[in-house]
Amino acid sequence: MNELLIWIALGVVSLLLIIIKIGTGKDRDGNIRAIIAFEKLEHVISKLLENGKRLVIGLGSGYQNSLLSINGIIGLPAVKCTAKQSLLADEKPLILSGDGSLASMSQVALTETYRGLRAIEQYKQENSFFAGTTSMSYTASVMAESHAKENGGLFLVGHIRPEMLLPVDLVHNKASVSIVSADEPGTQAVIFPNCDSATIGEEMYGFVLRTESQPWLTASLKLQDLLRILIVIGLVAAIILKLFGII
Amino acid sequence: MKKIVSIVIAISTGILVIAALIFRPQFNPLLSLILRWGITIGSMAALVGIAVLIKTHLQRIAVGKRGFFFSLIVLFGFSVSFLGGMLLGVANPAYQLWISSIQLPLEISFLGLLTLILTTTGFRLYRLKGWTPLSISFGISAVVFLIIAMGYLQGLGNPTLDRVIEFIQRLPIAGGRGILIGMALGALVVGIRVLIGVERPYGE
Repeated sequence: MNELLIWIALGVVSLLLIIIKIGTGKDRDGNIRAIIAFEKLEHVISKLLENGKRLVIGLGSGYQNSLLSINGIIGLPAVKCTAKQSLLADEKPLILSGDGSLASMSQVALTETYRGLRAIEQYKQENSFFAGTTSMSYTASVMAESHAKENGGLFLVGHIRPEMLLPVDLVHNKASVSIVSADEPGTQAVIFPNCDSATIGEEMYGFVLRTESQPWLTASLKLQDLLRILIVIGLVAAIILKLFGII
Repeated sequence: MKKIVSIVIAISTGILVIAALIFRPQFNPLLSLILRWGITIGSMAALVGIAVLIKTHLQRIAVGKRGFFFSLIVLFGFSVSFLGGMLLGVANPAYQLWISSIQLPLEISFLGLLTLILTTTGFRLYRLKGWTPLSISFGISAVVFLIIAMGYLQGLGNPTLDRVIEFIQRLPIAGGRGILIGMALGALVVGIRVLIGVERPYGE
């Protein structure tokens, strides 16, 4: 029975995505609300380019450790976006992954981006590496790398653990900028008061649209909102039905 | 051509894994095969990642980059741990003592540091974020839950107060579930985007 429900849910969601995409047409940007953290990130990237500083991007851990999380790949558009923006900059962004698969994917993303821009000579392997096998070793690596004087900001995105507060605090003490887009509610609560800007809840999934304006991505964000509204209606209806003793 | 091959592999693997999870008895051998491949590829990716990390640190030492002394420590620690594991085996008590003697104190120190920073965080909130509705509600909720967690109010034995506390304690669960529903929907849609080939984290 559960298996059938999974199939139905997947089918319905996929169908809705296609319907919304057809409805959206070729609208690239849609009417998606602004996300402050990502707007701030754009300003930070521009400012760092002007100042000749680089951005450290922490992709968090992805698949290797205990949690099987798809959220690890959310940061990869950030890798591509900053690589494009810093094409002519002296300091290229530094990408730190807490997982082997994620590190390999970020290397591929960097290579493909530079190849697409016909500037493969800009690609340097040492600008993206696997920074730690455990969450603590990853935290220590991000702290060590964030401390370098050529760094001007830290952007953490993906599956970020609460102990990543340590590098955020370090960056704050250096008067640099930190922006965090974490998937764990615990991390969001811990880091929110410390960093310059943070995303709350599902806002992190909106990043990809900021970097790659595609009708499919606009449609998927609209679908997310629609599903959320449907769930809220379902929950309220269930509460009312339970209140009257119907279920 | 390369792009199409990677897209086809990604989409077909995704569909096969979902199909295997749903039709378990029929697809079980296939699922275990794909998972074994996944583990092997993941392990190889980790090895490649470690190789890149070592190369990066070697380059830093070679060019005498600022802070290269830390790279020396990393390479020394890695070499001793790697060789020890290869020669003695990871189950060897002496090897395990070596690893735990380094890792445990370091991780505990980190946690201690984290506790201190978390304590100062509350005071920093208003300086950094200003007096916004979000920061004020954040501060008030922190104080309310701190008082409730102390347990003094529950000890008064007032049934009405107990019910109010019980209601307040349910609020973070409701809020957390709300956030988790949003995150789950986001992950689901990202998964579908990868499955239909719209999002390609493995390429441009």
